[in-house]
Amino acid sequence: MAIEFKQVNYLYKSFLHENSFSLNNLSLSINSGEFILVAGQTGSGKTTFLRLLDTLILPSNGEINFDGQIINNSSPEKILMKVRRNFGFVFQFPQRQLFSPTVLDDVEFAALNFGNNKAEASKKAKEVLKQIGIEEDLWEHSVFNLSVGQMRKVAIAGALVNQPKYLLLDEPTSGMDEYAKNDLLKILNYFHEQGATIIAVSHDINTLAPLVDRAIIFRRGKIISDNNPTKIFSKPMNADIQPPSTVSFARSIGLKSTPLSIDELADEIEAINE
Amino acid sequence: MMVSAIVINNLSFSFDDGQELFRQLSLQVNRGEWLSLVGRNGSGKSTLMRLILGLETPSSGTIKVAARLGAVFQNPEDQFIGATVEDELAFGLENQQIKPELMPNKIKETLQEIGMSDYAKSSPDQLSGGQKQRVAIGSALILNADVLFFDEATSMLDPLARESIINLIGKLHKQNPNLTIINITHDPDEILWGQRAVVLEKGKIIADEPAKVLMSDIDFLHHHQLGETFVSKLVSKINQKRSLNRKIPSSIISQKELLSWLLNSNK
Repeated sequence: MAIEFKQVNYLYKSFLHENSFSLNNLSLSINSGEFILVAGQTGSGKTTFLRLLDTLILPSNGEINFDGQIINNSSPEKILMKVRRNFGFVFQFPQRQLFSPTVLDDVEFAALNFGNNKAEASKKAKEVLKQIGIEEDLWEHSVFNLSVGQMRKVAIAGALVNQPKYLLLDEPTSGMDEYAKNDLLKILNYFHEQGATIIAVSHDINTLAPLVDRAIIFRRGKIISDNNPTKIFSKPMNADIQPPSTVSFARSIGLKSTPLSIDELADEIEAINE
Repeated sequence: MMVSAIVINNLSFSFDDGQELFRQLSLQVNRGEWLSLVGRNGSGKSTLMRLILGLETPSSGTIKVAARLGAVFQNPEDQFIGATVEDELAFGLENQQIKPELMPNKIKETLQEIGMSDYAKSSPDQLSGGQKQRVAIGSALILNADVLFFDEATSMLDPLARESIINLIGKLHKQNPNLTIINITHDPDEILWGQRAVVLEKGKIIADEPAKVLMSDIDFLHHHQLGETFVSKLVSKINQKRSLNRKIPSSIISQKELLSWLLNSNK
């Protein structure tokens, strides 16, 4: 076990409602090395959950244990900084986390922040940019002339350059073309195999369900399902989340199984034809 | 006769850092068309839209616009300023100097059109992603926009909200045959909603053809690293496992077509 939420509440002040819960009495454990998909409708608490994980916000009450370090409402900034060093965070809108003059500068900046010297930072930044599929001819360009999908890749490169223990992603595939998504998935798989724990909030169930070990579904600040994706999507779904297209298609031709990838679905279809 | 809504002639454009994107690009969009602008990240789709909207200036060439333009972006929060949904819509009317006494009716009509009548007094912050996009569409409609641009407008939405927005666009397009839709999207299944698909690659138009023709040209899609529909991917996988005489034709690109093929071939 690596991270444990113990009866965590997060309340936000709203003009309309005295105290609104964004997360309500949340208890769960995240094991080291897991690849987790967090899903649910807008406003269900998914993003609040990510922000608590990165200690960008603190629990209103309850506590979170990060590898033995307890974080609660009164934890000092010094401790939070220590915890945060284990995390890489990629926001939903990458343009809000990029600011350096060039692509390479931006990724280097993240590495310099972790005490690398200029030469080391530059080497690491180039390696990770190559890995994620940002071609060399873009390195000296302004980040702000890039497309949304390319910007996201640069933001992810910045998050990965220090090889964080935990990688948090908010809607990582949105605005990405299919091939860019494939590059991203390859690199996520690579980091997962290296032992990183990855937690991705996403609507893109089709892309992520075949890859993850575990899916957590939120509704109105509470967890309503927490299991491996095959188990979750084998049951008829409620209105909170649509099953992957593969599962919907399987159902439409009367298959009882829960294929999460197109490969599995094709196998199932051929099996009935034989 | 086709009436053009947008005519682009020999458009060239470079970024501030000198990087050239468009050289002598020409494109004509007719009134009432539903065109999908397709291409990989960085191919120039959004920049082309920004040029047409007048948010960027061409280095040379001309863009003639014979229509009122409206745009819906990936993140609608960036374009909201009103405290409530009706304020948001009223803002557009004020800009057009519509008399205040005419506003309530116009707002009511637009709310109905976008299916948001119950949310007139809600703050845009309280709306879901799909509802926010509806308001952004309403803000364009209330300005009598007859060309609507969508820049990855459904990519942040969950699948149900995405479907409802695409259905709304479909309904509006059906109601008003002069409404032109230009949809920038990476979703191969969304491309099939339009009649025409224009493919950009590194600032050049490399294909301009009926959406169905583009999406069934699997070799072209592979060669240019463009996504295929869910059904195309499934058909390729099934065909890999089949002998030559049992292959499914690659012209089958929608779920309906595949379902009926599978049912008939099993008889």
